[in-house]
Amino acid sequence: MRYFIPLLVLIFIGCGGGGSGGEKEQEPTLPHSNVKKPVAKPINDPYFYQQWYLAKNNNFYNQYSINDKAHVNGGEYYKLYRGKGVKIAIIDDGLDVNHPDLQDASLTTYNVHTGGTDVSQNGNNSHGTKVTGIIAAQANERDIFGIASESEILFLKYYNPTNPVELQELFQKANDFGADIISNSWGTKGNVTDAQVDIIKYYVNKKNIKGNVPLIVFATGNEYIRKESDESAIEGVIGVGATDERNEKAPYSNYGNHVDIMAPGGSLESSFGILSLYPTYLGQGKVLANEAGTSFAAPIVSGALAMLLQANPNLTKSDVEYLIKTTSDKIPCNDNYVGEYGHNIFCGYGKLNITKLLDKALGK
Amino acid sequence: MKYFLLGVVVLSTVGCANTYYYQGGKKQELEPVKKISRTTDTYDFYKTKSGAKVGVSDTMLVKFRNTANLEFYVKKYNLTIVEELIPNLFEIRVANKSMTIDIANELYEQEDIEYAHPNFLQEVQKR
Repeated sequence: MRYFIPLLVLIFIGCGGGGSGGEKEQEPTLPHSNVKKPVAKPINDPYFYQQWYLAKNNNFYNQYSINDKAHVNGGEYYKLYRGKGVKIAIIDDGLDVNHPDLQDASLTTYNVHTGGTDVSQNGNNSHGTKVTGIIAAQANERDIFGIASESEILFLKYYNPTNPVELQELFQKANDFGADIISNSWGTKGNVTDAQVDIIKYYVNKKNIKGNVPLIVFATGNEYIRKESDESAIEGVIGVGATDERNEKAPYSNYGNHVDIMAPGGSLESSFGILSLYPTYLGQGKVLANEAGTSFAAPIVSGALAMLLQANPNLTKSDVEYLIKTTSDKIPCNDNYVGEYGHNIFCGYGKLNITKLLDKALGK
Repeated sequence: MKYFLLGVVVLSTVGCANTYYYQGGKKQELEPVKKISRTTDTYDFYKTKSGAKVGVSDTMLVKFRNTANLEFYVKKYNLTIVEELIPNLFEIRVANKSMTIDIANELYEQEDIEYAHPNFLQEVQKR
């Protein structure tokens, strides 16, 4: 018996690690940023006031009764950090590289179907230009303000329909490019195959030529359903859901345990989409478009992560995951936030708050 | 009359011949359909249970737990290795695309193979 009690003690100690136990894990010590604070640059883009998802313009917000907190709160950081030195790969259906608001962007392109650099869109497609505009539209005196306009972009055009071999080639190109962030506003229609899961898992953990593990961002989709079996649900991927102008989860935004973070994706029910670029060749002098969906929430998060990595390039992937968990706003949602960092299947760890994200990353 | 009924049963069985592939350890049914956009006769098309259309060509994807028997399988099924996509995941060509699904399913059932399925052509959904 005298040996039995110490044995029981040992057994309990051995089981202690996995439970909640009510004790918080020790918070990681974030690496110090050695980046000198950049000189602030102005925002002169004429339609910035309509980019309700980035910042509050009093007149615009009042006119359309937008919730005061519907934006991602970049504040003064928009003037300081625009993704300089950060590489983003965007995988989508094509891009209007001749769009006037992309003329000074750092753009490299690759077409997986042809092996060439022509990534023009086919037919009436405009998705890739809209997605890219949210990140890369230049800070200038025309059109809109791209959230990470100084980042280096590799645009990778997929061919639709596609297969896992092409998927692997796309991610390898991103890896060769040294992508810090890989932004995906798409998903497979139907089942994701074992090979697709494996390929994305591999690149989630594969260091790029700079020696960094990339941040892979996927939109969670717009089917109004619980869906935990697509690319956005693969372990290590950052799954992005959408909020709307009410600062609530957009009804269409798919949900589940895999949702990590929310960002504005606009409303499908009203006219409050996300203002971005429209391919010039599609028509009649139109250069801007409004569209809603998790497709447009994902690049907002990707762009914010580029701002973050410029501000503090020493952050690891796990640091970034920790920051997402601890700085996102717990917006009102359909369910409680539970667990150590407060997670909710509808709203993940909450909605992106860029000021809180960068403040914490900079030790403020 | 009984021959007629027997004929109906036989014909209906042939018509429903089970085509499937493995995904996530489960059989996924496939129903042959007409081809979708993109290409050519290099693909046969099927509909999955969820209604999504997939294309099957003469290539498949095989993930080995270990590759000790790789050459054995290549010879047995008259395969050609196209490339290793990521460690132990190979794109492999079969001699005839009508055999892709069956060979992939047979390989899936081998202990040294983690999974095998056609290099499915699938539609991408913009979100």
